[in-house]
Order: sequence, then structure tokens, then C-alpha cells
Amino acid sequence: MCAGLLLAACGPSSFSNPPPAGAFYFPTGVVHVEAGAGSEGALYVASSNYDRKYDFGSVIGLALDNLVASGGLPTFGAAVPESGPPTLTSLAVGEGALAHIQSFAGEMDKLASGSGARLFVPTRAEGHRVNVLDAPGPTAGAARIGCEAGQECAESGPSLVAFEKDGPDGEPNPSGLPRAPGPSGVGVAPDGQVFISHLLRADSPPGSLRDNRAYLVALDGNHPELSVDSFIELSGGATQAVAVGAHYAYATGRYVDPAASMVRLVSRAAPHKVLFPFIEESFRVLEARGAALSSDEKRLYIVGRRPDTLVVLNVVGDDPPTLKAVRGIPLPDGANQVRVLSRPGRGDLVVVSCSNAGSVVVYDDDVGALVAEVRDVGLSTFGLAVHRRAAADGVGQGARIFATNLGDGQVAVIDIPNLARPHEARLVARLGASHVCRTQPKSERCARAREKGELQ
Amino acid sequence: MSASMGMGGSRERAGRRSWLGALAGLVCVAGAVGCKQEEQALTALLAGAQDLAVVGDLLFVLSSDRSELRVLDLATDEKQSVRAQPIRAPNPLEPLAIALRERPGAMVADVGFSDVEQEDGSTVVGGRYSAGSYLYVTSPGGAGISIIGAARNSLVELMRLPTAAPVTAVAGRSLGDAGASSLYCATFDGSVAELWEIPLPAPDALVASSAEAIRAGGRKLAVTFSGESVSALAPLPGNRLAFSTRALAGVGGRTEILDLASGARVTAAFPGPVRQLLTHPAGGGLAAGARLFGLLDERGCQPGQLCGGVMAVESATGAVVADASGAPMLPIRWGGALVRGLAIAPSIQLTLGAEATTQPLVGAATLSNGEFFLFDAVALRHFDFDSRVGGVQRDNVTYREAVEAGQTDGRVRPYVGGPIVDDPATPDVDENTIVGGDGAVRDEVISVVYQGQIPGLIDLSTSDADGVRFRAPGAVAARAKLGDLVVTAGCELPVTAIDADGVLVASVVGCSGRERFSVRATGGQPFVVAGTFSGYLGRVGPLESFSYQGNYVAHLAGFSAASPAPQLAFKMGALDPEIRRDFHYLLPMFSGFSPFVGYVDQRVGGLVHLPLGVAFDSHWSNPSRQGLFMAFPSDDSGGDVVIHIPTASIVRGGNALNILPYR
Repeated sequence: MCAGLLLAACGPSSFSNPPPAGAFYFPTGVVHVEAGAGSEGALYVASSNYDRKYDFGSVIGLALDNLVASGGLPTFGAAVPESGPPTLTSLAVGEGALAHIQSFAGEMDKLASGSGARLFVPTRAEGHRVNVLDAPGPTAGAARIGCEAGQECAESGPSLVAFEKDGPDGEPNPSGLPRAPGPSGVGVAPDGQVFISHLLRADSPPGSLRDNRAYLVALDGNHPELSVDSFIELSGGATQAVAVGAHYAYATGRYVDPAASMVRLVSRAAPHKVLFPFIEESFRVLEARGAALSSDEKRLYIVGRRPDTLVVLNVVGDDPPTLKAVRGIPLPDGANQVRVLSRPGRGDLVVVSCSNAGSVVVYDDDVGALVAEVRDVGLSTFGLAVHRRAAADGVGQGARIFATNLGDGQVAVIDIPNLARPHEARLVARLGASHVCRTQPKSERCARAREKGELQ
Repeated sequence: MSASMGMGGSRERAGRRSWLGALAGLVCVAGAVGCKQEEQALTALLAGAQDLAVVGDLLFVLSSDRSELRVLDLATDEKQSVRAQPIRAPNPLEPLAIALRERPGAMVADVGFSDVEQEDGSTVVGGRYSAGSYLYVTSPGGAGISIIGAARNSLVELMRLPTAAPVTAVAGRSLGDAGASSLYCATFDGSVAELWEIPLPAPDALVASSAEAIRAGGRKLAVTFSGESVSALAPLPGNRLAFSTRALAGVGGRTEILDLASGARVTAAFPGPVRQLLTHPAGGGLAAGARLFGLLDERGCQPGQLCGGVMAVESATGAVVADASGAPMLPIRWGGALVRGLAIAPSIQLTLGAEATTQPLVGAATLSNGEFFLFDAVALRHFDFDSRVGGVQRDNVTYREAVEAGQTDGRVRPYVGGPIVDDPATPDVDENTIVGGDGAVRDEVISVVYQGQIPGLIDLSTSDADGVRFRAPGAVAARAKLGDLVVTAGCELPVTAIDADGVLVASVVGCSGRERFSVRATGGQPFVVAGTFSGYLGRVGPLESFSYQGNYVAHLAGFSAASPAPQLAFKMGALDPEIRRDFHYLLPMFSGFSPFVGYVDQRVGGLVHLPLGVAFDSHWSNPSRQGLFMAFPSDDSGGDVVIHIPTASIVRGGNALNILPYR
């Protein structure tokens, strides 16, 4: 309590080495929150502080109307100038629009709350917390964000290793279980149920590398408190990402040991009912990364690695659902996160970030193939957020996509002016000054960013 | 013979000088210098290999991640190296990389068909299959086609041909020795699909032309596409073109064969939409292109269904081809895996028995589960390594008591009643009534359970609010019969009615607090028949005959299309007077079907997980050099590899011998 008051009393800058107030630093999670018709809404970007140059990571909120009004961020669907997509090195972060979180942030997801949203950010630094922040939505030109402790939110939200030493009853816990070290992925249902995945095995006793367990952690997003029942045991391996449907959560598996399960299903009504569809027996990739459901939950899209593949699955039934892999689409190197753009009366569009290739691709289920690859998005493209909107030509729908680039510290902005023509997807802007000279000091990118004055 | 001499020889075989001679000469002369200086094999640098294409004696390897093509020389002299050497770059210390302007997604090569004069004076139209001058590479969403020279003296991107909209399918037809081709491409702008035919001159003339002029020479084919995109193209002999479509939304699609001269079209009777089309060289008495092969699209496939696979239609009529049994062929597939890549080649040496023999036309398919299979592309079925006729392992049929807690199966009882099999005490009397149709029966255990729970009607949710109704999907509710017992909340309630929403009982008085229910068989057919793989098969009573027709997975030798044997049939004996609920008979069945399914042992290939592209190297007169190439795309951290296996060395299961990995 005292610590909280102390934190609340201190602004973010009162620490010796705070993260930059006007730039992203190894950005990972990203969320877009709509703010009514005609508004560009707000963008929230989690910086992971991957090399721990600073004391904390951060979440920065951007009121996108400001960026468009200033002329820096192109209007939706505008042509890309011949000089290439502009870079907005000055983000004009409004007052109260930056909050500190733990380092090593992973994904980020949102729970709609009034005109804004509650944000959940798993972090892998000390405490292995899911930082919980509230974003009331853009007002007065700022996309404010914070937690009970103001803008110092590194201690917000529950620790997923809270029971490692002492159990919930306060007694010593030699097994160290349950715990979910290395939280990374997050999926939030509209009703507030939150699921967290974790990348590190939970061995027992801790440090023994024996009796490894994997969990999916379920929380009530409106009251994010942890109990033993929050931990849903999934057997071995590790979990990577989670997509949440009406009745089940779908957790993908990362390769550790034993070999990964591509996907495991957890009943939302009876969370300890776990289904193993063994998709890996019919579709063999080494591990899985992102996952997303179509809006009608009849399709599940999973990003596989080794080789990089978009695995398309039919989902039949809802309780329990059964799965069938029906297509595998080769993806560029380092495929990562995935988002679905459902289209009424048409097949889905599926957007995938590809870290090593530095690109974002679009799969069209009507064509059964990739129909667009937006290249030179940035270094280590990771997170994706989507702002669906009216098509730029006024006929149908379009989408603006935001992609975080872990390696250069920027957020790429990609427009699909009309979802009926996904091949027109294009990079229209980059947000934030680059830190590429920190990750690749001798690279051409660094030299170019220095020449253009786009460095942090 | 050195690599350089081999290349020189090939250059002579090409027999043509061109503007590209300077480049070819540079490659070859430099190659000669390089070969004298180093005996070591040059690493091919095949990172991100995804697709493969054999054109003549060159293997083209498509790397999407590097946006390039690499080329392996299949004519490498085996005295110099057992490995196919990469074609060298102008700098002979480096392998040649054909740079592409965009990240490639697909690659196809020209195919050609020329008429064959028969000894009797007749002509087989398009009976001979040949390579052409070009390869075509497309990019995801790219409105253009990279035209690549496929001959040794033109291994560059010759032209980037723009298209009006993104390309969804492409194919090319070689027009003969002059080097000209016809390029076919399908475009889709998001709402409208179009099909184009674009004449291409020989490479010399192509590079002398502008892309705009080449494009302007094309014609839009008179095919209307409504609510669909084109997913695949394949040239056919007789100036015909096959195309497949994919419906926008839904799961539909069609395949048609278009006569390019008359515009007439024939529907290809594939049983569903097709995602890849392929023809074949001549072999096994078939003229080249006599059959049109298609990979069935699994888009609408449901869990538990066997979908996809390889099908073939007669290219002349579009009718599904009859297989060796005389019946329309069945899809050639393996388990629940998706077919990824497909190749067909003639005169392939395979070891199906004690020694390698030449098979006239062989298909190879890579699978999504990491395996591959080889099939007989003449007989249109899997090779079958199991000569037995499928059926029951009669010596292992057992009669067991109910499974007790903590047991995996019930205690064995003396065999009384049940499906009639031999009495081991009188082996001279064949009383076995249990039969399984060869090609339909599965490798599984059939259970015949007395008063058993009915699959699909087990542990379903219910509540007191449902009253006398116990809800279940109509399809499974129909498995119940009047008089069967609903077991719930400590009650056993006879079924009095069955409808599309479940089963009903007369009263639920005294059964409050119910949450789950199951239905048990009773009455005249108290035995429930189910398979560990096939699931629910039906019900039967004492002294009755049971038959489940099922579906054939293969038409094996002995199959009769006129009277196909059921998957399972038997006759029940009299009821055991001592039988109790859940006493059961177990019938271990064997399929008698063992297809040519293999995989690459990871100890050889490294982290090879998922094969994609596949191609035969079948041009050798010496069959010992025939090989199967498979591409295993992976990421930069290792495992990028193309695998070569001599076809005669391929075995079922793990393949570890005589494998050459290329990286």
C-alpha cells in the first residue's frame, strides 16, 4: 500500500533511468482501441526494454487523430509518396500517456471497458507478472494510460510465480507448483476471461529440470487475482499463444521438451477440461506461434515454425470442437503473430507478421494462397493490431494494420484500403524513432536512419 | 570427366548459339578454371528450398526466402562426384543464383506434347512429353510473372511480364524445337478472375522484345468466372488447357478442360474442387497427357473425414479414370495427412519385392505429416506390400467379461456365442463367418458388446428441465431403438420414442438431479458393434447376420466392382446363457493393405520435418542414377535441405541409406 502510494506520488521520470518518453524501445505488444465513428482511435504499444538499458519497459498511448491532424500519419488509404513511407520520429505522446511496466513484455490484449479498454501485458522479468493497465480512451488529445499506482505499473497485476516458494496458504511449497514462468501470450474474451500462456517450463522442484509442466492461466480480467485454480495444467511442453473462442481457448505449443503440441484446447466453462487434438500427427511443424479464430469460429489459423507455415484448420462443433487441418501455406521466415479479418460473404483474410523476413503477409481464403507481402516493414516484425474501418473508396471495408518491429523500435503502419483487394496492402508510415543503431550499429539501416535523423 | 567438360558437352548438345552465348561461355570457361583448382564439391546454398522442377538434366530449386533460384546439374559425371553439382556462377567459386525481383511463391516449367507416329501409321496426338524453354515464377499478390530461361545457356530471369491483376495460377506449353511457348495465366483482382494465353517467342526473340509488346500479344480466353478464382492450370495435348476454380467463400470449385481452338469445354469429373493440376509423360501404354491428375482441395473437409488425395480424369472426356479393378478410381491418399507436392515420372526403378523392377509410371506425393508415398500412376492405386487378403486374425478373437475398474480389458472367457469363428479344437471345419472386404477393412479392433453403451449416446449432458426428453443429435439418436435404456441419475429408463432431437422416455419420476446420460442397447439387438478406428458400425442380435458396407480406401487385387464385399460382415451365434452386461467379443482385424509410405530419417537429413516440393530425376538411361528429390523448407537456423534418394533404394518407413542431402 505504502509502495503504491509512493509510486503514485512519483512521476515516471523520477527514476534514474526511465525508458524514453517519446519513443518505443524493443516494442512487442500492440493494441488498437476504437474511439467512435470518424476517429482514428488510440494505439497502445508495449516496449519490452529487451536489453534492459532502462529500468522498465513501457506502454505508450498514442491518440492517432493527433498524428493524422499533424500531417505526419497519412490518412487511411492515401497514396504512398514517391519518397516512400514517412517516419514520425516525434510521437507527441500526451500527458499521462506513458506508463512503466516490467521489462520483457510479450503480447498485449484488451478488454473493452466503457469508452476505453483494460490492457493485459505479460512480462518475463522478475515477478513474471501480467501487468494490468487501464486506458480510458483518447481524450483531450491524449491517450492516457495507467493503473492504480498511476503510471508506475510494473508491480500491477498478478505474478504467475506467486506460489513458487509459498503456497496460497502461506505454507512452504517444495513442489514450486503451480506456476507459469515466462508469461508471453494473452487472449481476452469479451466477457472478461483472460488466458495467459508461458514460454518456460514449470519444473518441480524449481531448478531441477524434472517433472516439467505447462499451464494456461485463466483470470477474471475485471478482478485479476490469482488462485491455484487459475492454473490449468496442460501436461508437458510450453505454451506460446492463445486464441479465445466462445466455448474454448486454443493454446499453441512452443518447442521445448517434449515436442510441442500444436494446439491444446481448454474449456472456458470447465477450465480443467483439456482437449488434445494431436494436429501435429497430421501436420508436422516443430512448434506453433500465433493463433487466431475466424469470427464464426469455424476456422482456426495457426502459425507454425520449422518450416514457417500457416496451418488452416476447420473447426466443427463448439462443445467440444473438433479440428481438421485443411491447408498449409508456406510463410516467410520467422512467422509469428496472426490476425483474422473476416469478410461478410467472403473468405477470411489472415494477416501474419514474419520476424526474420521483416514482412507482413496476407492470406486470402478465397484464393487459398498468400495474396500480398508487404516487405521492408522493419526489423523483427512481431505484434499486430488491426483497426477495421470503412473502405477508403467507401465501398465495403478496409483495415489499417499496426505492426511492431522489435529490432528497430518502430511501429509500421500498413493500409489495406479495401478488404476486397488485399493485394493493395502497403506500408504507409513508420511510427517512432529508430533504435536500429543499437541492435545493428554497422548496418546500412543504421547509416540510413542516422542520415535521415530518425534515430532515438 | 570434370564438371566443366560435362557442361561443355551439354552446351554442345544444346546445339544453339545465341546472344546468351557470351554469358554461357563465361559460366563455362570460369567453371573450367574453378574445377581445376578445386576438387571439393561446391555447396549449393539451398536455403529456404521450397519447390523443385526438373527440366531436362537440370534441377531448379526455388528459394522463397532468398528470392532466387539455384540449379543443380543432374548430368554431373558420377566418376567426378556422386552428387549433382550446382551450376556455377560467373564467379566459379560461387553457385549460380538466379535472382528474382520479388519473393517467389510458385514455380512451374513448360511442358510440351508432340505427336507420335505409330508403326501402324496412326498418330497419337500429343503423345510425347517434352520440356520447354522457360520456367515461370510468381509472387504472392504479384501482378506479374518472372520468365526464367530453363536451358543451360539462358539461366537468368529473361523478362518480368506485368499482368493486369495478381496472378493466381500459371502454366506454360512448349511449342516445339523452335523454343517458343504459350504462357497461360489466371489473374484475380479481388472480385473478377480472368484467364489469358500469351504467346512467347524463343528466348533470343523474347529478350529482344519489350514486356509491353509481349503482353499486348496475349488474348483473354472466353471463359467467364463468377464468384470464383482460378486455382490451377495445366496444358493438355491437342491444344487444350485444364483449369480449376475455387469458390469465393463456401467450399465449391470446378475443373474444366478447354479446347483453345474451338472454345469448347468439358467438365472434369473430379469429386470436388482441385488445388493443383498435373499431367504426365508417356508410360505404361499411356500417351503423354492422357490423364489429368488433380490434388483434391480439403477446404471443406470435416474432422474424422478422409479427404483430399490424388485423383485422375481422362483428359479426353473428363471422366474419372477406371483403376486396375475396372471401377472408377478412389482418391489416393494416406491417413489424415494433406498431400503437399506431387510428381509423376515414367520408367522408375522401385524395389517392391526382393529386387528392383521398372515401374512404367510412378507418382510421388509429399505429405503434411512428414511422410511421402509412391503410387502406381497406371493402375491408379497404392503399391501394396501386403499380399494377404484383409480380414480377421481368427486365432486372436476373444470373448471377455466386462472391464473392471483398474483393468484395461475384461477377463477372457471360453468362447460361446458371438461372431462365429473356427473352433480351434476342430480346425478342419472352417466355420469362420467374419469377413472384411480387402481394401475396405481397417487395421483395428472391432468390439461386439452385449447391452453396450451406444457410441454417440454416451455421457451427454441433460438436466431436469428437459423433462422426459434426452437431447442428442438426430443422426446419433437414430442409433437407439425402442426399449433401449437411458441410464441417468441412478435410473434406467426405457426409450419410448426417438426423434431428431434425441430420445424420450415415459417418465422421469424419481430421477431428479440428472446431469449426464447414456443409452444402452437392449431388446432384439442388444449387441453394439464398433471399431477403434471406424467408430460405430451398427447393432446385431443373436443368430442374426451383421453387415457394414463401409468405404473402400483402395481397390486391391481381387476387388469386384459388381459386388464389392462389405467392410465387415459376420453371423452371430446363439446367446451365451451366462452373458452379462458389457461382456464383449473382440475381433482384431487386419487390412491386408500396406502402401509404399516412407519418411526421411532425421538422423540423415537433420531437422527435416515437412517435405514440400518433390521431383523425379528420371532421365537417366542407367536406372541406378534415378532419384527422387524432396525439398524440406525450414528456417535459417538449420535444416534447409533438399534430399535425394535413389529410387531403387527407397524403402517403406524410415529411409536412411544412400541419401544425399543438399544444403
